[in-house]
Amino acid sequence: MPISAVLVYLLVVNLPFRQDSDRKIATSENDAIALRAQVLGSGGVQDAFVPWKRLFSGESVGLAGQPFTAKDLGRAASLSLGLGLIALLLALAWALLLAVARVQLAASRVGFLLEVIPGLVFGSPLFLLAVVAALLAIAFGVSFTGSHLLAAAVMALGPGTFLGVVWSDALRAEAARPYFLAALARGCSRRQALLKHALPNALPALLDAAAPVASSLLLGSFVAENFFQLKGFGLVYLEAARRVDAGVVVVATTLFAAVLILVSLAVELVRLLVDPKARDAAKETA
Amino acid sequence: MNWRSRLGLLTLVLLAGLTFGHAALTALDALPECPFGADPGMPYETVCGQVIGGLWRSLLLGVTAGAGSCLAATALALFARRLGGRFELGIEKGAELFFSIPDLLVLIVLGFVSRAVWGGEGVTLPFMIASLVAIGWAAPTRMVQNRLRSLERLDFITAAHAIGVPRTRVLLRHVLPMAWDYLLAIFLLRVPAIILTESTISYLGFGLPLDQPSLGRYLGGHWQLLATDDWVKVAPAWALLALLVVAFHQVGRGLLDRAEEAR
Amino acid sequence: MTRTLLVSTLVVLTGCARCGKKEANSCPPRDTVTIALPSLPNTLDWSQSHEQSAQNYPALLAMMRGLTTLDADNSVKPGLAASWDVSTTADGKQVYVFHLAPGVVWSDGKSPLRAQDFVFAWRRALLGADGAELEDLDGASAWRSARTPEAAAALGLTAIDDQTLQVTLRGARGYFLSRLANVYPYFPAPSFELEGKSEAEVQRYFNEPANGRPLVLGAFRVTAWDRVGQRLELEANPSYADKPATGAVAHLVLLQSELGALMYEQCNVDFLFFDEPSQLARPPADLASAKLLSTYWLGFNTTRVPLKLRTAIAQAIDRQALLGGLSALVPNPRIAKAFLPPEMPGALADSDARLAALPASDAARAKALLAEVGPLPAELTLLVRGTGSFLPETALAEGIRRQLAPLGLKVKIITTSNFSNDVKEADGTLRYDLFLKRTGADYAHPNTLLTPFQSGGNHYTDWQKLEGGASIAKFQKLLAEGAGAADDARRTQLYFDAQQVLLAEQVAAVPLYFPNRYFRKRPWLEGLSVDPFNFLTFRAMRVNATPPAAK
Repeated sequence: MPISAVLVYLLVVNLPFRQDSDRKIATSENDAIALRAQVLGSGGVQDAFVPWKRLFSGESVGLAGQPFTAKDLGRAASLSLGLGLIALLLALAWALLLAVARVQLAASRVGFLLEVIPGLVFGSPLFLLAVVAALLAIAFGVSFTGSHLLAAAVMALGPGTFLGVVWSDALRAEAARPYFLAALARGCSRRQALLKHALPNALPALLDAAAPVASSLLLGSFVAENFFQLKGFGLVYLEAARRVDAGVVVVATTLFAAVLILVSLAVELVRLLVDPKARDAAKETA
Repeated sequence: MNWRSRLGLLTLVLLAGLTFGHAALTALDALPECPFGADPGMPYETVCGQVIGGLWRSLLLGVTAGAGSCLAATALALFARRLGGRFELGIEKGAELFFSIPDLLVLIVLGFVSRAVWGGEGVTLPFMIASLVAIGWAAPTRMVQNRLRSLERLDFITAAHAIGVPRTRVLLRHVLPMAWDYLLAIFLLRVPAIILTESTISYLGFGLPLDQPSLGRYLGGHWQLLATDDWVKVAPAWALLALLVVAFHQVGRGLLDRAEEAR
Repeated sequence: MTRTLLVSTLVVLTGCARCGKKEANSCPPRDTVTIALPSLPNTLDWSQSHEQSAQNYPALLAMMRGLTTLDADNSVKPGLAASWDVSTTADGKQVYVFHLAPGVVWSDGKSPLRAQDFVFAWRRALLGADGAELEDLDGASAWRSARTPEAAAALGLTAIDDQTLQVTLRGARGYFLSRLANVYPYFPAPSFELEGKSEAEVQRYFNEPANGRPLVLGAFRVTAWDRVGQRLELEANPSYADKPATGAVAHLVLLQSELGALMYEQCNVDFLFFDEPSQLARPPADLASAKLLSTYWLGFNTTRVPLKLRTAIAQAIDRQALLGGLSALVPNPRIAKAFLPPEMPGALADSDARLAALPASDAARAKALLAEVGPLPAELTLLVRGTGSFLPETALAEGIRRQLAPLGLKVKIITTSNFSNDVKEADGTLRYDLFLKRTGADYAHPNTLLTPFQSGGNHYTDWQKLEGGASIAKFQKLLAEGAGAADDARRTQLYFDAQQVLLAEQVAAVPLYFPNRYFRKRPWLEGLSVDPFNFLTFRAMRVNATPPAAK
């Protein structure tokens, strides 16, 4: 993580710096340059944590437009985190629904439609799906501006559908296994067998999907926060990058990288706990 | 090829024809009036001109960046197979690591870099293509590596190794030609993914400038019209984007299925 | 293909979605007024200011007021100062003695406004990011560089007693009283709460609002500022004396959201800048507009574009045809015959015969001139602001490209989202041949629109290099004389002469038109408008629960 922090810092800080104001009379650029040196340090490796020190001492890291402090960024991050958690729950629920439906209804007439849904979701840019969600909300008389739930649903659409497809494929594979057929032969109903036996066994397959789901949620948070104008961390980051605000971009990019690394570490840990195969493999290497 | 792929291919040919036809008619000054009227933000441009220009740019972006990333992937995979050992493992792990970074995050950072260095409202077309190649090489590299590995296990390749044909020669002369179908399929499937990624990044404001829009940029700059009486000015771009993505996807899937059957 | 079908169904659905829209005018009156702005303040510290100062004005004008105010015709009337005396010293310095209006108290309800509050605020403002705004004060530059008690004492700024403020300017500045009304670094600060505090503490006092602080003198005080959420909440200042008799607004919310237009439709917002020129073709019923004291102009990189070519381009541009072709985006354009809009005090009326001396459109002469220029440049680059401008700038650029094409001049348009950064290299070299820009007045005096063309001004034309600097020196001399001119006719003539140097002799710029700003507001919201300086006027804002029947 510190390595990614240093890399991001070196990349962003060493870009050419321009801070020209649109005033009628040109003022000296010394103020802007001094502020930049305060926030970002000299640009060498040894100063990579200067912006972080500044945040910890309660000062702002914003260089252009908005002066963001740790408190401000923390508030934005907590909004994004909350949205992300709701979206994750929605995604899991949607994935489960889609997976079971795809397995159970594959042969029926609706089955075709269930195959179309993933194509539709993966085949349109997410912001257009957000537009559809917003317009449907308006049509049904719901105010969509600032609607956190709608934003979370848009965020959940991609990862949920992806998980649903992975899950249903895993379920299908489980349903073809001898133990499943044995369960059916013993008089277990198909639904029971699916929920009681196949579902737990298909869980490790979900872990493989965790990393893509995390990055897909991140993408969703950018698009949804931008579209619904929820001032979370994603939108703060986008606006800072648009303003070429190196201070905020350094901090935020590092945070995103850290979150992704943490997620992949957590997934490995959970895999050790859940998946007997991985546990055995870990024992062997140890 | 099944009927879906054929329909997809036909659609692609028609879409390409549309861009060329539009260019030809513009050159001949014989353009019929656009049924959707003028682009509300740019009254000198018609919706048709903007959308077909966008279609052309999206196609160009998708095809060149797709080809670029697939070429890079193939070269890397061949190189890795040829050198083998730690080098191969290194490329494999490197590609996996890179693949786990969200494309969008990398593109936003690249857009930020472009703004800081060159300024301007958006990035230029070549920069966009280069960025898309830079993020697009990882997934195909892994796929091509696996494919080459499994092809090399075929009996006659093993035989060729046994009688002492140089490895590079085996790879280029015997293994690669067998992978052509698969490579083409990967390329065709990359294109819609790239077009979608580009449209999202353009919507977020780090893509092409609005006066030279891709389909995604046009939609990103005009979606607000959907809530007004001018919603018809957005529909054609949306329809063309959907057609383009679905058509490429279908042709790619068809080719991939054929490649799988051939094995 | 089912997918395509589904997509088209969705498109049809979206068409239907418009039926669910509420009738905008049915939104009932409320005592909390919400205003959507393109951007929120980056600081509430009016004496410190910020690089991007324009976005701070709406909030600061709601919170504070100046020594003077402006009447409807932009003439100066008393504000925090009830009256003033002006005199000139023997060495040409101008001395203003302001007598503060009695009974004005800060928003804590008890502390009176004192002359010392101005001394404290202005000394600090001179050291802040907008210090150049107060450069006219005698001894300003010494104080800015030295920052010693001696320099402070030598500054032309003295509190004679609690009610009397004496200000000495370096010379005669006819625009000084106008500036006091709007330019926020001139607002006073509650010195009794701030004196003796460190600079960091003072900045926190303003930028972390709590417990009714910062104290204000205007109609509203801040209750909460969410920088991330881009939301500023204000409440009526109980000590504000000029409240409307009925319908005073108790709470004011300023917010920034790209979705302002939709929030307006859904009654979440009561005032909205209508900044999408593309939608002016179908104006909503409650659309209103304000004439800005503001000029949209074409600028030249005079180092790269020679005088004859500049003159030819100025004559080749047909403003009437250019804006006529964009009538959907610029309805009823006010075509610019000079740089100063005729509504500006001290500008020539549109019918004035003297205006004929400035370049006007003349295609034949443009062609003849071009023939003299010799080989034309292969391509002229034109920088213009892209998205994020409230004017249809890319369309205007395209219109100019089309007007110049028949003359064999090929123009390449480059759009930018950060004009002031992109227009020049880090070393100050101009990057493009032409550019389009809007310059707005900050106060009601010709000086404000011509200031940028002085040396050190952000005119982006390099015209200070022409004729070894003789032209710009002549221009500056005319401006200085204009600022000191005693009678109006003389002032008007001097400012016209200055424009003639800029627009006719050197053709560094071509004024195109004077833009309007469009906005929407609820019919029950009265007294809230956009003033000629593109600021909001809050002071007379009131809610009229029974508006006259709509047409």
